[in-house]
Amino acid sequence: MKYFRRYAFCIPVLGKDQSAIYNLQKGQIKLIPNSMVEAIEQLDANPVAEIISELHEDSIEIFESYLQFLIENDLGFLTDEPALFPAIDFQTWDSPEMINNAIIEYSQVYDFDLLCQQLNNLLCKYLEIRVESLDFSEHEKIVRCFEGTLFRSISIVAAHHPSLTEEKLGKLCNKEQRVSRYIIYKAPSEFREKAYPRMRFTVKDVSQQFTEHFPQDSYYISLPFFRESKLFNPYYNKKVCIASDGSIKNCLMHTKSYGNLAINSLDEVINQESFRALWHASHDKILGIKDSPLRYCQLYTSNLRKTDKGLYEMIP
Amino acid sequence: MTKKIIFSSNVYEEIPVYYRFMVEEKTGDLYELKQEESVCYSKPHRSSGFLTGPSEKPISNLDYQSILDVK
Repeated sequence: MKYFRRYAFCIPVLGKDQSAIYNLQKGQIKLIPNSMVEAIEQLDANPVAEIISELHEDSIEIFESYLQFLIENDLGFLTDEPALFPAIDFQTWDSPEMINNAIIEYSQVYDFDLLCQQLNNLLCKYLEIRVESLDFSEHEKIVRCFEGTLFRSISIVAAHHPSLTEEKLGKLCNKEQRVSRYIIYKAPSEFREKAYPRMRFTVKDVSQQFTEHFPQDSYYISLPFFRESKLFNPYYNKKVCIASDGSIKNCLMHTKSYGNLAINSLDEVINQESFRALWHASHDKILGIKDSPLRYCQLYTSNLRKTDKGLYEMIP
Repeated sequence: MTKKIIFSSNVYEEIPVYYRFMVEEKTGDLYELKQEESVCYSKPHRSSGFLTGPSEKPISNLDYQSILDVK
């Protein structure tokens, strides 16, 4: 008996008016009618011939066109041994780090070196550091704090200062390989050189973007993103933000703070249940998003408010 | 006492590569997490994206593609 088996990385997502099928290996999404999701669910459980035998005569042609679409678009295949092709488990998600990423407004109000050590102890992987106009020696101090840490990738976005020359900063960037982006904004002129591939001087004022939401026309079609967004909010999950006054937040755009580096340790704050609440606000729980077929490939950076029914609504 | 590696990570520093990992030590009925360090003298495969490079997902509200004009 022939069964249709989806490739494990091809996942249908039901929406309200329209659905989608994600190809997480090729990074593609195809929008499909909701009825095709029903057909896929039937195909997941039953042999093709059995489904067709139970269909109304008028529906057979549509069903066969769906099957043809799935095979022609290389979303699955026919097999006699469906048990050999198990589905991916989307019911669990975890990662070893206590904090995955941190967004930091650099300032001399708190001890930046101590902050890096605390983040390192929490196995934090990714940093984004926003720096005001500071001289080169301060930049050297910042980069020195990464020595001996486990950070994998660091983005530094800094306002221009006359002491920041392309050569000096480029050498600093090349010395610390984990600085994946060193962006100097409000620079007097554009600068981009092959010798310093990860450094960029731009005349733009990037700080205007600090208070803007992430664009909704960017899609992240990948298995890790999909899996995380099924159960957690991929923007807030395992994130910590440090404002220039040392306050510890879920997002720098939020006014709500859960502690301050002057009096609290990061470990203490990130273990507060209230701090972690938004981590669990998965896209399936957000009003206005939960019915979108694209909810597992978009990043929503709005603040969220819990409703009476255990769902969340976006605060404009 | 038994010891089990439960998580490892590493830091890119040209050569050598320092590995740091968490171990679970069991003494009697007690388990304790400890961080240990080791060193490896083989250069990692730079293009793997494992050690360096941005996260697979955007981590902040900043749209780097538009900042860097790569859209």
